[in-house]
Amino acid sequence: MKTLNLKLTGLSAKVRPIIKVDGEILQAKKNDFGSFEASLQTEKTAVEIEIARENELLAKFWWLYALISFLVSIFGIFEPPYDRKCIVIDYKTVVQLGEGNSELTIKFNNLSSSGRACEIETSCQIEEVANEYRVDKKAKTRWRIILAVKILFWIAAAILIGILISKKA
Amino acid sequence: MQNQHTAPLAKAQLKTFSVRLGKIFSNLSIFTMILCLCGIMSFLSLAFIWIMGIVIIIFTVGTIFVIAPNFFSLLTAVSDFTANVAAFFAQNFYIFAAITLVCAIATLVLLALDKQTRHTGRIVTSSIVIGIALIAIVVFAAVV
Repeated sequence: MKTLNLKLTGLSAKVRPIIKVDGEILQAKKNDFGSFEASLQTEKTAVEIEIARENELLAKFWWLYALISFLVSIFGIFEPPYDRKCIVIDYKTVVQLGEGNSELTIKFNNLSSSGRACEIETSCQIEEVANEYRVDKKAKTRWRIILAVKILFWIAAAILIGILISKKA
Repeated sequence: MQNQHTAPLAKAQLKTFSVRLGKIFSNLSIFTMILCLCGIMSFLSLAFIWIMGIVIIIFTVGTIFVIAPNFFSLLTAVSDFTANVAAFFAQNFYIFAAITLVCAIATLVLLALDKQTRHTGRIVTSSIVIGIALIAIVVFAAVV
């Protein structure tokens, strides 16, 4: 049995990473120093690690979640804002595992709309497939849709209140 | 792969949503707690207005009525307005307190379920909000 200890450092507090190992999500835990740690046990000699940034707007039922949030938060008043920049992490690597315990530390660079996402520290052999920060167009479009719907709602609400007040007066 | 810590993507997205809901409930509980406190503060401000009015009359040895002939009517108008505000808060105090408690408890449950990130700040704040709301209920029940 081989063990891979994974550590993600340098991520800002807003970023919640999704770690996928051979397509399955590996649950990572945040430690006291703000780094994410996860451990994986496998019989395989190589695993494919994929790291993405969790974005609420890329969820399957994003519109339903957004609608419920909007209603529960009294029409968006008490709602925490969605990530405006919609920057995603695109990182994929194949790690050749050694016998026993292997360590893999991924140091993330400052969040930006483009450029290299992270640097790796490990004694294992790795084959990098993707390593970049990029703006997700789908998430950006959905963010714009939510903003437009909110603005339209508030304009409609203001007109409705205006009509009601003028009728009473 | 023999790994106990994997989860499907839909579940992870639902967890993110529950964290979002937790934050919304946290914001709501703070707002309704302020409304609860306004209920108590409005009664105190009513007393404060009358005390200030009496103090002004004593310190000016009654000359305030020469300087401002409508001083007393001003004082009663302000205290009437404050009394109306206090009556509104008194009428709805238990509704605000109930919303505060429900939202704060929901925050605790939803944020405590998130195993990936610790929401220490919000959890501590919600615990304090629950404490303040309970004290406010006791004080309000004793006073009104």
